Amino acid sequence: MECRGLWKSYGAFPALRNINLELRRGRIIGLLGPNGSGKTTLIKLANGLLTPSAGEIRINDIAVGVETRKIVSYLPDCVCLPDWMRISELVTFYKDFYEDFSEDKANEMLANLHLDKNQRFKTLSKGNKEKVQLILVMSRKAQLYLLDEPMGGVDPATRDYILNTIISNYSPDAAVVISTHLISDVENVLDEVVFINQGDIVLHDSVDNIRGEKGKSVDALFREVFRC
Amino acid sequence: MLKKLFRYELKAMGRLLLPLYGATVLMGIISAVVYSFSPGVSNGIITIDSSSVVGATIFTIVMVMQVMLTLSTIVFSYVFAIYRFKKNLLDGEGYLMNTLPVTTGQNILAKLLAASLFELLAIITVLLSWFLFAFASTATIKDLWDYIAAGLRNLFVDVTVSDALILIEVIILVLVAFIQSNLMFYASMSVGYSSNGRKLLKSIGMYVAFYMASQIVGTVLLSIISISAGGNIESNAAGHMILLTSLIFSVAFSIGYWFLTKYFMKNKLNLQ
Repeated sequence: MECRGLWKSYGAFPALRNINLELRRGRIIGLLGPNGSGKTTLIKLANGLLTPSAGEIRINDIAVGVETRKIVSYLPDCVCLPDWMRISELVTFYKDFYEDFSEDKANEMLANLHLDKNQRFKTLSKGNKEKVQLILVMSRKAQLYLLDEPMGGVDPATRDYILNTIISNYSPDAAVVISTHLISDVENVLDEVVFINQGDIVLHDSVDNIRGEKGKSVDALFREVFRC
Repeated sequence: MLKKLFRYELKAMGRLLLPLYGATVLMGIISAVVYSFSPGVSNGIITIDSSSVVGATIFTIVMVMQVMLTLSTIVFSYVFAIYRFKKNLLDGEGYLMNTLPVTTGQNILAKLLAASLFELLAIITVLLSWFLFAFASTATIKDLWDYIAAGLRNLFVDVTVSDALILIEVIILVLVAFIQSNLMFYASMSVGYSSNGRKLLKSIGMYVAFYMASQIVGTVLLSIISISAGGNIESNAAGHMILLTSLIFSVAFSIGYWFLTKYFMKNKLNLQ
Protein backbone atom coordinates (compact mmCIF):
# COMPACT_ATOMS: atom_id res chain seq x y z
CA MET A 1 0.00 0.00 0.00
CA GLU A 2 1.35 3.37 -0.98
CA CYS A 3 0.11 6.87 -0.11
CA ARG A 4 1.45 9.90 -1.94
CA GLY A 5 0.69 13.42 -0.75
CA LEU A 6 -2.54 12.19 0.80
CA TRP A 7 -4.84 14.77 2.33
CA LYS A 8 -8.30 14.36 3.78
CA SER A 9 -10.34 17.19 5.25
CA TYR A 10 -13.78 17.17 6.83
CA GLY A 11 -14.88 20.69 5.98
CA ALA A 12 -12.15 23.00 7.25
CA PHE A 13 -10.73 20.34 9.57
CA PRO A 14 -7.82 18.37 8.11
CA ALA A 15 -7.98 14.75 9.32
CA LEU A 16 -4.88 13.69 7.34
CA ARG A 17 -2.11 16.02 6.17
CA ASN A 18 0.21 15.18 3.35
CA ILE A 19 0.66 11.51 4.18
CA ASN A 20 3.47 9.73 2.35
CA LEU A 21 3.68 6.11 3.36
CA GLU A 22 4.73 2.80 1.89
CA LEU A 23 3.80 -0.51 3.50
CA ARG A 24 5.28 -3.75 2.16
CA ARG A 25 4.22 -7.38 2.04
CA GLY A 26 5.17 -9.90 4.68
CA ARG A 27 4.91 -7.45 7.54
CA ILE A 28 2.49 -6.95 10.41
CA ILE A 29 2.22 -3.22 10.86
CA GLY A 30 0.75 -1.37 13.81
CA LEU A 31 -1.04 1.85 12.91
CA LEU A 32 -0.90 3.51 16.27
CA GLY A 33 -2.19 6.79 17.53
CA PRO A 34 -4.53 8.36 20.05
CA ASN A 35 -8.26 8.76 19.40
CA GLY A 36 -8.98 11.14 16.52
CA SER A 37 -5.45 10.96 15.15
CA GLY A 38 -6.54 9.85 11.64
CA LYS A 39 -6.03 6.06 11.80
CA THR A 40 -9.58 5.17 10.79
CA THR A 41 -9.65 7.87 8.11
CA LEU A 42 -6.51 6.42 6.52
CA ILE A 43 -7.97 2.90 6.52
CA LYS A 44 -11.28 4.11 5.09
CA LEU A 45 -9.44 5.92 2.31
CA ALA A 46 -7.62 2.69 1.48
CA ASN A 47 -11.02 1.01 1.15
CA GLY A 48 -12.63 3.73 -0.94
CA LEU A 49 -15.17 4.55 1.77
CA LEU A 50 -13.86 8.11 1.77
CA THR A 51 -12.36 10.04 -1.10
CA PRO A 52 -9.07 11.90 -0.69
CA SER A 53 -9.14 15.70 -0.69
CA ALA A 54 -5.76 15.56 -2.44
CA GLY A 55 -3.09 13.01 -3.28
CA GLU A 56 -3.58 9.34 -3.98
CA ILE A 57 -3.55 5.94 -2.41
CA ARG A 58 -2.63 2.79 -4.35
CA ILE A 59 -2.64 -0.86 -3.43
CA ASN A 60 -0.49 -3.26 -5.40
CA ASP A 61 0.09 -0.25 -7.65
CA ILE A 62 -3.63 -0.07 -8.49
CA ALA A 63 -5.91 2.87 -7.62
CA VAL A 64 -8.54 1.96 -5.03
CA GLY A 65 -11.51 0.29 -6.73
CA VAL A 66 -13.03 -3.07 -7.63
CA GLU A 67 -9.64 -4.67 -8.33
CA THR A 68 -8.14 -3.64 -4.98
CA ARG A 69 -11.24 -4.83 -3.11
CA LYS A 70 -10.54 -8.32 -4.42
CA ILE A 71 -7.22 -8.38 -2.59
CA VAL A 72 -7.99 -6.29 0.50
CA SER A 73 -9.72 -7.77 3.52
CA TYR A 74 -11.16 -5.01 5.69
CA LEU A 75 -12.38 -5.10 9.26
CA PRO A 76 -14.21 -1.86 10.08
CA ASP A 77 -14.25 -0.32 13.53
CA CYS A 78 -18.00 -0.86 13.78
CA VAL A 79 -20.33 -3.81 13.43
CA CYS A 80 -21.55 -3.59 9.85
CA LEU A 81 -22.94 -6.99 8.87
CA PRO A 82 -26.64 -7.34 7.98
CA ASP A 83 -28.16 -8.24 11.34
CA TRP A 84 -31.10 -10.20 9.92
CA MET A 85 -28.83 -12.92 8.57
CA ARG A 86 -27.80 -16.06 10.41
CA ILE A 87 -24.07 -16.66 10.87
CA SER A 88 -24.24 -19.46 8.29
CA GLU A 89 -25.82 -17.05 5.79
CA LEU A 90 -23.05 -14.54 6.41
CA VAL A 91 -20.48 -17.23 5.68
CA THR A 92 -22.30 -18.00 2.41
CA PHE A 93 -22.44 -14.27 1.63
CA TYR A 94 -18.64 -13.95 1.96
CA LYS A 95 -18.14 -17.13 -0.05
CA ASP A 96 -20.39 -15.77 -2.81
CA PHE A 97 -18.51 -12.49 -3.18
CA TYR A 98 -14.88 -13.28 -2.35
CA GLU A 99 -13.02 -15.87 -4.39
CA ASP A 100 -10.29 -16.07 -1.74
CA PHE A 101 -12.70 -16.90 1.09
CA SER A 102 -12.26 -20.26 2.82
CA GLU A 103 -15.51 -21.62 4.22
CA ASP A 104 -13.67 -24.42 6.04
CA LYS A 105 -11.41 -21.97 7.81
CA ALA A 106 -14.40 -19.84 8.86
CA ASN A 107 -16.30 -22.86 10.16
CA GLU A 108 -13.26 -24.04 12.10
CA MET A 109 -12.82 -20.67 13.79
CA LEU A 110 -16.54 -20.39 14.55
CA ALA A 111 -16.40 -23.81 16.21
CA ASN A 112 -13.27 -22.85 18.19
CA LEU A 113 -15.06 -19.81 19.56
CA HIS A 114 -18.24 -21.82 20.26
CA LEU A 115 -20.37 -19.70 17.95
CA ASP A 116 -23.55 -21.37 16.75
CA LYS A 117 -23.87 -20.97 12.97
CA ASN A 118 -27.64 -21.05 13.15
CA GLN A 119 -27.83 -18.05 15.42
CA ARG A 120 -29.07 -14.79 13.93
CA PHE A 121 -26.42 -12.07 13.93
CA LYS A 122 -28.65 -9.58 15.72
CA THR A 123 -29.09 -11.92 18.69
CA LEU A 124 -25.33 -12.03 19.39
CA SER A 125 -23.60 -9.94 22.04
CA LYS A 126 -21.45 -7.04 20.82
CA GLY A 127 -18.28 -9.02 21.52
CA ASN A 128 -19.53 -12.06 19.61
CA LYS A 129 -20.58 -9.87 16.69
CA GLU A 130 -17.03 -8.54 16.52
CA LYS A 131 -15.66 -12.07 16.66
CA VAL A 132 -17.86 -13.19 13.75
CA GLN A 133 -16.82 -10.15 11.75
CA LEU A 134 -13.14 -10.82 12.40
CA ILE A 135 -13.50 -14.52 11.55
CA LEU A 136 -15.04 -13.66 8.17
CA VAL A 137 -12.31 -11.13 7.42
CA MET A 138 -9.49 -13.46 8.46
CA SER A 139 -10.95 -16.40 6.53
CA ARG A 140 -9.91 -14.72 3.31
CA LYS A 141 -6.52 -15.29 1.75
CA ALA A 142 -6.05 -11.61 1.01
CA GLN A 143 -2.90 -9.70 0.11
CA LEU A 144 -3.64 -6.85 2.48
CA TYR A 145 -5.57 -7.01 5.73
CA LEU A 146 -6.76 -3.70 7.10
CA LEU A 147 -7.97 -4.28 10.65
CA ASP A 148 -9.44 -1.25 12.38
CA GLU A 149 -9.54 -1.78 16.15
CA PRO A 150 -9.86 -5.58 15.92
CA MET A 151 -9.83 -6.05 19.67
CA GLY A 152 -11.83 -3.05 20.79
CA GLY A 153 -14.76 -4.79 22.44
CA VAL A 154 -13.53 -8.26 23.34
CA ASP A 155 -12.22 -9.83 26.54
CA PRO A 156 -8.47 -10.44 27.08
CA ALA A 157 -8.74 -14.20 26.46
CA THR A 158 -10.40 -13.57 23.11
CA ARG A 159 -7.79 -10.93 22.32
CA ASP A 160 -5.15 -13.64 22.53
CA TYR A 161 -7.21 -15.85 20.25
CA ILE A 162 -7.64 -13.00 17.77
CA LEU A 163 -3.92 -12.27 17.73
CA ASN A 164 -3.15 -15.95 17.22
CA THR A 165 -5.71 -15.99 14.44
CA ILE A 166 -4.08 -13.03 12.76
CA ILE A 167 -0.59 -14.52 13.03
CA SER A 168 -1.59 -18.01 11.94
CA ASN A 169 -3.74 -16.90 9.03
CA TYR A 170 -1.57 -14.33 7.43
CA SER A 171 0.87 -15.42 4.74
CA PRO A 172 4.30 -13.99 3.83
CA ASP A 173 2.68 -12.63 0.68
CA ALA A 174 0.35 -10.46 2.69
CA ALA A 175 0.62 -7.33 4.78
CA VAL A 176 -1.46 -6.88 7.90
CA VAL A 177 -2.24 -3.40 9.19
CA ILE A 178 -3.65 -3.29 12.70
CA SER A 179 -5.02 0.01 13.88
CA THR A 180 -5.29 0.16 17.64
CA HIS A 181 -4.45 2.03 20.79
CA LEU A 182 -4.15 -1.19 22.81
CA ILE A 183 -0.45 -1.29 22.13
CA SER A 184 0.73 -3.64 24.84
CA ASP A 185 -1.64 -6.32 23.48
CA VAL A 186 -0.32 -6.19 19.93
CA GLU A 187 3.29 -5.20 20.48
CA ASN A 188 4.64 -8.74 20.41
CA VAL A 189 3.21 -9.53 16.98
CA LEU A 190 4.21 -6.31 15.21
CA ASP A 191 7.09 -6.04 12.73
CA GLU A 192 6.83 -2.31 12.28
CA VAL A 193 4.84 0.61 13.60
CA VAL A 194 3.43 3.82 12.20
CA PHE A 195 2.71 6.51 14.78
CA ILE A 196 0.08 8.95 13.63
CA ASN A 197 -0.94 12.12 15.42
CA GLN A 198 -3.36 14.86 14.36
CA GLY A 199 -3.22 13.72 10.77
CA ASP A 200 0.58 13.56 10.54
CA ILE A 201 2.86 10.54 10.55
CA VAL A 202 5.32 11.17 13.37
CA LEU A 203 7.17 7.88 13.23
CA HIS A 204 7.51 4.92 10.88
CA ASP A 205 10.05 2.36 12.02
CA SER A 206 10.58 -1.32 12.65
CA VAL A 207 9.92 -2.68 16.12
CA ASP A 208 13.45 -4.09 16.23
CA ASN A 209 14.91 -0.62 15.62
CA ILE A 210 12.77 0.91 18.33
CA ARG A 211 13.84 -1.70 20.82
CA GLY A 212 17.50 -1.79 19.70
CA GLU A 213 18.29 1.84 19.03
CA LYS A 214 15.91 3.57 21.39
CA GLY A 215 16.03 0.84 24.02
CA LYS A 216 12.30 1.09 24.63
CA SER A 217 9.22 -0.96 24.08
CA VAL A 218 6.69 0.32 21.54
CA ASP A 219 4.24 0.90 24.39
CA ALA A 220 6.77 3.01 26.32
CA LEU A 221 7.68 5.01 23.21
CA PHE A 222 4.01 5.57 22.42
CA ARG A 223 3.38 6.92 25.93
CA GLU A 224 6.40 9.21 25.54
CA VAL A 225 5.43 10.53 22.11
CA PHE A 226 1.77 11.01 22.90
CA ARG A 227 2.09 12.27 26.46
CA CYS A 228 -0.76 14.68 27.22
CA MET B 1 -22.05 -10.27 -9.31
CA LEU B 2 -25.19 -8.25 -10.13
CA LYS B 3 -27.22 -11.46 -9.97
CA LYS B 4 -25.85 -12.22 -6.50
CA LEU B 5 -26.46 -8.67 -5.26
CA PHE B 6 -30.00 -8.77 -6.66
CA ARG B 7 -30.67 -12.13 -5.03
CA TYR B 8 -29.57 -10.87 -1.59
CA GLU B 9 -31.59 -7.68 -2.02
CA LEU B 10 -34.71 -9.64 -2.93
CA LYS B 11 -34.19 -11.75 0.17
CA ALA B 12 -33.64 -8.72 2.40
CA MET B 13 -36.76 -6.95 1.14
CA GLY B 14 -38.91 -10.03 0.72
CA ARG B 15 -38.56 -11.19 4.32
CA LEU B 16 -40.59 -8.14 5.43
CA LEU B 17 -42.67 -7.26 2.40
CA LEU B 18 -43.91 -10.67 1.28
CA PRO B 19 -45.75 -11.38 4.58
CA LEU B 20 -47.37 -7.94 4.25
CA TYR B 21 -48.43 -8.67 0.69
CA GLY B 22 -49.74 -12.06 1.80
CA ALA B 23 -51.77 -10.39 4.55
CA THR B 24 -53.23 -7.90 2.05
CA VAL B 25 -54.37 -10.68 -0.30
CA LEU B 26 -55.74 -12.63 2.67
CA MET B 27 -57.66 -9.55 3.75
CA GLY B 28 -59.24 -9.39 0.30
CA ILE B 29 -60.46 -12.96 0.74
CA ILE B 30 -61.72 -12.24 4.26
CA SER B 31 -63.52 -9.11 3.00
CA ALA B 32 -65.15 -11.14 0.23
CA VAL B 33 -66.28 -13.84 2.67
CA VAL B 34 -67.58 -11.32 5.23
CA TYR B 35 -69.37 -9.40 2.47
CA SER B 36 -71.03 -12.56 1.22
CA PHE B 37 -72.26 -13.58 4.66
CA SER B 38 -73.16 -10.20 6.18
CA PRO B 39 -76.95 -9.89 6.30
CA GLY B 40 -76.78 -6.11 6.68
CA VAL B 41 -74.72 -5.53 3.52
CA SER B 42 -76.13 -5.59 0.02
CA ASN B 43 -74.82 -4.04 -3.20
CA GLY B 44 -72.15 -2.27 -1.18
CA ILE B 45 -74.71 -0.51 1.04
CA ILE B 46 -74.59 -1.13 4.76
CA THR B 47 -78.01 -1.31 6.42
CA ILE B 48 -77.98 -1.39 10.18
CA ASP B 49 -81.04 -2.70 11.98
CA SER B 50 -81.56 -4.95 14.96
CA SER B 51 -81.14 -8.13 12.93
CA SER B 52 -77.96 -7.17 11.07
CA VAL B 53 -76.00 -4.91 13.40
CA VAL B 54 -73.34 -7.52 14.18
CA GLY B 55 -72.75 -8.44 10.54
CA ALA B 56 -72.65 -4.79 9.44
CA THR B 57 -70.20 -3.92 12.22
CA ILE B 58 -67.90 -6.80 11.34
CA PHE B 59 -68.03 -5.81 7.67
CA THR B 60 -67.15 -2.21 8.53
CA ILE B 61 -64.17 -3.32 10.64
CA VAL B 62 -62.98 -5.63 7.87
CA MET B 63 -63.27 -2.81 5.31
CA VAL B 64 -61.25 -0.44 7.49
CA MET B 65 -58.59 -3.13 7.89
CA GLN B 66 -58.45 -3.71 4.15
CA VAL B 67 -58.04 0.01 3.45
CA MET B 68 -55.31 0.21 6.10
CA LEU B 69 -53.49 -2.79 4.64
CA THR B 70 -53.81 -1.34 1.13
CA LEU B 71 -52.20 1.92 2.25
CA SER B 72 -49.55 0.08 4.29
CA THR B 73 -48.63 -2.13 1.34
CA ILE B 74 -48.07 0.83 -0.99
CA VAL B 75 -46.45 3.22 1.49
CA PHE B 76 -44.29 0.63 3.25
CA SER B 77 -42.97 -0.74 -0.06
CA TYR B 78 -41.71 2.72 -1.02
CA VAL B 79 -40.39 3.64 2.41
CA PHE B 80 -38.64 0.30 2.84
CA ALA B 81 -36.97 0.62 -0.57
CA ILE B 82 -35.57 4.04 0.43
CA TYR B 83 -34.56 2.74 3.85
CA ARG B 84 -32.72 -0.20 2.27
CA PHE B 85 -30.68 2.12 0.04
CA LYS B 86 -29.72 4.31 2.99
CA LYS B 87 -29.00 1.51 5.46
CA ASN B 88 -27.27 -0.85 3.05
CA LEU B 89 -25.14 1.61 1.08
CA LEU B 90 -24.85 4.86 3.02
CA ASP B 91 -25.02 3.72 6.62
CA GLY B 92 -23.44 0.94 8.73
CA GLU B 93 -23.89 -1.87 6.20
CA GLY B 94 -22.26 0.40 3.62
CA TYR B 95 -18.89 -0.59 5.12
CA LEU B 96 -19.55 -4.10 3.88
CA MET B 97 -21.40 -3.37 0.63
CA ASN B 98 -19.04 -0.65 -0.61
CA THR B 99 -15.99 -2.84 -0.03
CA LEU B 100 -17.32 -5.83 -1.99
CA PRO B 101 -15.57 -6.47 -5.29
CA VAL B 102 -18.50 -5.09 -7.27
CA THR B 103 -18.90 -1.86 -9.20
CA THR B 104 -20.88 1.08 -7.87
CA GLY B 105 -23.30 0.67 -10.78
CA GLN B 106 -23.98 -2.96 -9.83
CA ASN B 107 -24.70 -1.98 -6.23
CA ILE B 108 -27.17 0.73 -7.29
CA LEU B 109 -28.79 -1.36 -10.03
CA ALA B 110 -29.44 -4.29 -7.68
CA LYS B 111 -31.24 -1.92 -5.29
CA LEU B 112 -33.17 -0.26 -8.11
CA LEU B 113 -34.36 -3.50 -9.69
CA ALA B 114 -35.44 -5.03 -6.37
CA ALA B 115 -37.19 -1.83 -5.22
CA SER B 116 -39.06 -1.38 -8.53
CA LEU B 117 -40.05 -5.04 -8.58
CA PHE B 118 -41.48 -4.91 -5.05
CA GLU B 119 -43.31 -1.65 -5.76
CA LEU B 120 -44.89 -3.22 -8.84
CA LEU B 121 -45.74 -6.29 -6.78
CA ALA B 122 -47.35 -4.02 -4.16
CA ILE B 123 -49.65 -2.52 -6.81
CA ILE B 124 -50.54 -5.99 -8.16
CA THR B 125 -51.18 -7.21 -4.59
CA VAL B 126 -53.53 -4.32 -3.84
CA LEU B 127 -55.40 -4.78 -7.12
CA LEU B 128 -55.69 -8.51 -6.46
CA SER B 129 -56.97 -7.89 -2.95
CA TRP B 130 -59.72 -5.54 -4.15
CA PHE B 131 -60.44 -7.77 -7.14
CA LEU B 132 -61.14 -10.65 -4.73
CA PHE B 133 -63.48 -8.43 -2.77
CA ALA B 134 -65.19 -7.17 -5.94
CA PHE B 135 -65.62 -10.76 -7.10
CA ALA B 136 -67.77 -11.46 -4.05
CA SER B 137 -70.11 -8.61 -4.95
CA THR B 138 -70.75 -9.94 -8.47
CA ALA B 139 -72.41 -13.20 -9.40
CA THR B 140 -69.81 -14.59 -11.79
CA ILE B 141 -66.37 -13.82 -13.18
CA LYS B 142 -68.10 -12.87 -16.45
CA ASP B 143 -70.16 -10.23 -14.59
CA LEU B 144 -66.98 -8.86 -13.03
CA TRP B 145 -65.18 -8.76 -16.34
CA ASP B 146 -68.18 -7.02 -17.99
CA TYR B 147 -68.06 -4.46 -15.21
CA ILE B 148 -64.30 -3.83 -15.67
CA ALA B 149 -64.67 -3.69 -19.47
CA ALA B 150 -67.47 -1.16 -19.15
CA GLY B 151 -65.29 0.95 -16.87
CA LEU B 152 -62.41 0.87 -19.36
CA ARG B 153 -64.78 1.77 -22.21
CA ASN B 154 -66.05 4.74 -20.23
CA LEU B 155 -62.49 5.80 -19.52
CA PHE B 156 -61.65 5.85 -23.22
CA VAL B 157 -64.91 7.64 -24.05
CA ASP B 158 -64.17 10.26 -21.40
CA VAL B 159 -60.80 11.15 -22.88
CA THR B 160 -62.07 10.64 -26.41
CA VAL B 161 -59.16 8.34 -27.23
CA SER B 162 -60.10 4.87 -28.34
CA ASP B 163 -56.69 3.67 -29.41
CA ALA B 164 -55.45 0.58 -27.50
CA LEU B 165 -51.93 1.92 -27.90
CA ILE B 166 -52.62 4.49 -25.23
CA LEU B 167 -53.07 1.72 -22.63
CA ILE B 168 -49.65 0.31 -23.50
CA GLU B 169 -48.16 3.80 -23.24
CA VAL B 170 -49.73 4.25 -19.80
CA ILE B 171 -48.36 0.91 -18.55
CA ILE B 172 -44.84 1.70 -19.80
CA LEU B 173 -45.08 5.17 -18.26
CA VAL B 174 -46.09 3.70 -14.89
CA LEU B 175 -43.13 1.30 -14.96
CA VAL B 176 -40.70 4.09 -15.87
CA ALA B 177 -42.28 6.28 -13.17
CA PHE B 178 -41.40 3.62 -10.54
CA ILE B 179 -37.78 3.68 -11.69
CA GLN B 180 -37.70 7.47 -11.87
CA SER B 181 -39.12 7.95 -8.37
CA ASN B 182 -36.64 5.45 -6.88
CA LEU B 183 -33.70 7.04 -8.67
CA MET B 184 -34.79 10.48 -7.50
CA PHE B 185 -34.58 9.25 -3.90
CA TYR B 186 -31.21 7.59 -4.57
CA ALA B 187 -29.78 10.72 -6.18
CA SER B 188 -31.02 12.91 -3.31
CA MET B 189 -29.50 10.65 -0.69
CA SER B 190 -26.20 10.07 -2.48
CA VAL B 191 -25.72 13.85 -2.78
CA GLY B 192 -26.93 14.57 0.78
CA TYR B 193 -24.83 11.83 2.36
CA SER B 194 -21.67 12.97 0.57
CA SER B 195 -21.54 16.01 2.84
CA ASN B 196 -19.85 16.18 6.23
CA GLY B 197 -22.87 17.02 8.36
CA ARG B 198 -26.69 17.24 8.42
CA LYS B 199 -26.75 14.49 5.82
CA LEU B 200 -30.44 13.62 6.17
CA LEU B 201 -31.53 17.24 6.06
CA LYS B 202 -29.45 17.86 2.94
CA SER B 203 -30.92 14.73 1.34
CA ILE B 204 -34.44 16.04 1.96
CA GLY B 205 -33.40 19.42 0.56
CA MET B 206 -32.04 17.76 -2.57
CA TYR B 207 -35.23 15.75 -2.97
CA VAL B 208 -37.35 18.91 -2.77
CA ALA B 209 -35.08 20.58 -5.35
CA PHE B 210 -35.30 17.61 -7.74
CA TYR B 211 -39.06 17.39 -7.27
CA MET B 212 -39.54 21.09 -8.01
CA ALA B 213 -37.29 20.89 -11.07
CA SER B 214 -39.26 17.94 -12.46
CA GLN B 215 -42.57 19.70 -11.79
CA ILE B 216 -41.42 22.89 -13.52
CA VAL B 217 -40.15 21.00 -16.57
CA GLY B 218 -43.35 18.90 -16.66
CA THR B 219 -45.60 21.96 -16.49
CA VAL B 220 -43.64 23.76 -19.21
CA LEU B 221 -43.85 20.72 -21.50
CA LEU B 222 -47.59 20.32 -20.89
CA SER B 223 -48.13 24.02 -21.68
CA ILE B 224 -46.16 23.72 -24.92
CA ILE B 225 -48.22 20.67 -25.98
CA SER B 226 -51.44 22.42 -25.01
CA ILE B 227 -50.54 25.50 -27.07
CA SER B 228 -49.46 23.41 -30.06
CA ALA B 229 -52.76 21.43 -29.87
CA GLY B 230 -54.72 24.68 -29.93
CA GLY B 231 -55.86 24.27 -26.34
CA ASN B 232 -57.59 20.94 -27.09
CA ILE B 233 -55.53 18.56 -24.95
CA GLU B 234 -58.31 15.97 -24.87
CA SER B 235 -57.82 15.16 -28.54
CA ASN B 236 -56.44 11.78 -29.53
CA ALA B 237 -53.23 13.23 -30.95
CA ALA B 238 -52.63 15.45 -27.93
CA GLY B 239 -53.20 12.47 -25.62
CA HIS B 240 -50.48 10.50 -27.39
CA MET B 241 -48.23 13.53 -27.40
CA ILE B 242 -48.65 14.03 -23.66
CA LEU B 243 -47.94 10.38 -22.86
CA LEU B 244 -44.95 10.12 -25.18
CA THR B 245 -43.49 13.41 -23.95
CA SER B 246 -44.01 12.29 -20.34
CA LEU B 247 -42.26 9.03 -21.16
CA ILE B 248 -39.28 10.77 -22.75
CA PHE B 249 -39.20 13.23 -19.86
CA SER B 250 -39.26 10.40 -17.27
CA VAL B 251 -36.55 8.43 -19.09
CA ALA B 252 -34.35 11.56 -19.40
CA PHE B 253 -34.74 12.41 -15.71
CA SER B 254 -34.09 8.76 -14.75
CA ILE B 255 -30.86 8.74 -16.75
CA GLY B 256 -29.82 12.00 -15.11
CA TYR B 257 -30.55 10.69 -11.60
CA TRP B 258 -28.74 7.43 -12.38
CA PHE B 259 -25.51 9.14 -13.41
CA LEU B 260 -25.73 11.60 -10.53
CA THR B 261 -26.17 8.76 -8.03
CA LYS B 262 -23.34 6.78 -9.58
CA TYR B 263 -21.01 9.77 -9.65
CA PHE B 264 -21.56 10.65 -6.01
CA MET B 265 -21.42 7.04 -4.80
CA LYS B 266 -18.20 6.42 -6.69
CA ASN B 267 -16.36 9.71 -6.29
CA LYS B 268 -17.86 11.41 -3.23
CA LEU B 269 -18.66 8.51 -0.91
CA ASN B 270 -18.31 9.76 2.63
CA LEU B 271 -18.90 7.02 5.19
CA GLN B 272 -17.66 8.82 8.27
